[in-house]
Amino acid sequence: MRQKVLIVLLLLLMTALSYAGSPAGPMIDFPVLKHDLGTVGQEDKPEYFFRFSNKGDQDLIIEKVSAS
Amino acid sequence: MASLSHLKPGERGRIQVTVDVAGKRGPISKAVQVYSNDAKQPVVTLTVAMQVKDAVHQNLGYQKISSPARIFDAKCRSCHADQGRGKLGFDLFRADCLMCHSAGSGPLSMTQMKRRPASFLRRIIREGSDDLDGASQQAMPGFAWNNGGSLTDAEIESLVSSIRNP
Repeated sequence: MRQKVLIVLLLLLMTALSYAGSPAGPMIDFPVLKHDLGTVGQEDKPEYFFRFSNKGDQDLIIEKVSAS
Repeated sequence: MASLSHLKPGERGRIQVTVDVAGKRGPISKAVQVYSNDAKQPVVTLTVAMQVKDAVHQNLGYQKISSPARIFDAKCRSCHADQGRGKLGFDLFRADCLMCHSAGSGPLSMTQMKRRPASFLRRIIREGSDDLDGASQQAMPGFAWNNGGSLTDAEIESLVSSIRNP
């Protein structure tokens, strides 16, 4: 009986660990997703740089950036 | 657009979003999709919003345009209708049509129009449209000479054929 409880506890611990270690793989993180540039003139060329980082534990690859 | 497309853990990058606002006015927003190998967030949408101030028309005293056919008025036609004088086909399109029919603005772009039948294109260029199938939010005036516009039949035909066979 004691052994069974131990096994169950061990299984629970393993599940918990696998969740805790969950940035498995790359993780894209944009602090800002939407930006308001305010008022611009028609002759302006408004632009904005969105910053991001890889918060995961593997290489992040940006495959494509497309405008809709 | 991405300054670095391959980031090691902890590395930073940036994505540049540039918006072409020539000829646009009012509230504009542009969305950009970023596709990556992040399994939890394979697509991230970034949005840039802005208000485009239409200085050209404000300086001319045109806050509200009563009818699209006003582009053929004496004050307006130098920008809207006279640029294409003596031009045909794609050159004419670029001079007179592109300011509204650029990709990403309300009216149909050249690529979108390519799929429409020639008879449809001919009729809309000649007679204009209040709102093409609800797709655009701006009305178009009739460009045919005998509808008060600036184009002859030959010029209109050259537009139709260059839209259909670019």
